[in-house]
Amino acid sequence: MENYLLWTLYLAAGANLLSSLEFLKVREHFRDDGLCAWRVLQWKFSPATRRRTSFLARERASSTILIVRLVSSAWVLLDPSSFSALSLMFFSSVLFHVRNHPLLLDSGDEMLLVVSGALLLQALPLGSSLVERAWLQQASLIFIASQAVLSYFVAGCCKWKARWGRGVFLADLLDCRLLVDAQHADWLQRHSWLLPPMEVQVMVMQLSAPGLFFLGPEFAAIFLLWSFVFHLLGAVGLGLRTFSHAYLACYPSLIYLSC
Amino acid sequence: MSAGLIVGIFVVWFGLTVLGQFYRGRWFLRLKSHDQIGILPHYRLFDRSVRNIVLFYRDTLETPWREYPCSRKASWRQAVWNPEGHDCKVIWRFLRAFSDAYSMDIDVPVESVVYQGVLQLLARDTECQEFVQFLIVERDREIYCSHLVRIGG
Repeated sequence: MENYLLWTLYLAAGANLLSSLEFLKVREHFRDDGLCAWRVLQWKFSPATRRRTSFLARERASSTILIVRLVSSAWVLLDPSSFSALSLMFFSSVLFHVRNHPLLLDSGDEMLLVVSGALLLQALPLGSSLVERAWLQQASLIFIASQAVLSYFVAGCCKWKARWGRGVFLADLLDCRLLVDAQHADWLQRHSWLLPPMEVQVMVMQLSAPGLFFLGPEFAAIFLLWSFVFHLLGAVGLGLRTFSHAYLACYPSLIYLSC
Repeated sequence: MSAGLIVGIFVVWFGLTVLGQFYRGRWFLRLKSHDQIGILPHYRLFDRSVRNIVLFYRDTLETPWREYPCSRKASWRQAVWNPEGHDCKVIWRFLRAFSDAYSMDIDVPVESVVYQGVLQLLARDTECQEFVQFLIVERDREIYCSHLVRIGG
């Protein structure tokens, strides 16, 4: 069990590290004349909250939070047992989310925060016995796996309800050139017969996620390979990189659950 | 005892996340409104059509409309490293928020996130120096046309 937890820690810390590096690279967004300047984003808060969170306003505050997140993620990678490193990683992520959620962040960032929170909770130094510690580690793995299964299943149900499978949704997505690469979109639009089966396979994959609870390791291997390809194509085709990395961090828990 | 408390937190957290997927009770919406960070995620990924929203702009009322220049270029590298991807995503979200507000007949105040965001965007990425007028179109239907406004004003 400790190995599963260790891999979850490594993957979550790696995802946090890459995400922090990326946002540091585009830190001009957070300047006073940037796309996500405080004078733009502050309007999402009530006046009272705006006053309380004004310390997040400047580019320097955003960069400091990102640097703390970056360093603490690297620290977790070097020393996964460090509670201080995990706390810093989680709370710097929380501050970053307070300022930028939901305009700059998506469901991948939310999942990463959930995973980081669960990892922090299981590591709380409560002076528990070894048995209790093992119990906590198990609970955190089950929690992360359950969140991942829930997310796949809910997404699948919503697609089913919205009558995915006719190729209409992917065709609409391909029209939106802000989100997709024009060259690949043109190719897929020329081969539009591919769209309905592509939609069906995504929906079937997501709806089959609860099978991880009771269909054993063989099913888990197929499911994880299938979802890995789905996430890889999402990251390349739609730019959903954090989304892919956050779900990759759930894989050790999903493997633990299915075994 | 303490381990039991943590497990209790996991159970409540997961229970609230499940509830958040379908329940719309008043007390829950009030609780969700305090969730500024997305700790109770909404997992309805791509359950609706992705909307093709296009932004046009011009710097005087006489000049023709120009389309805002942004499109993605995919590469395998983006599976690991994709800082420029944030740009397109944020732009699309600003435009979607605008479109959502108008489809529900909600006026977007000029000081709102989306309005200011679109202005920041045009100031940064276009040749407009002082004034700009913008037009948001969804599926060839005009959603919103601003007045001629001062950039950064």
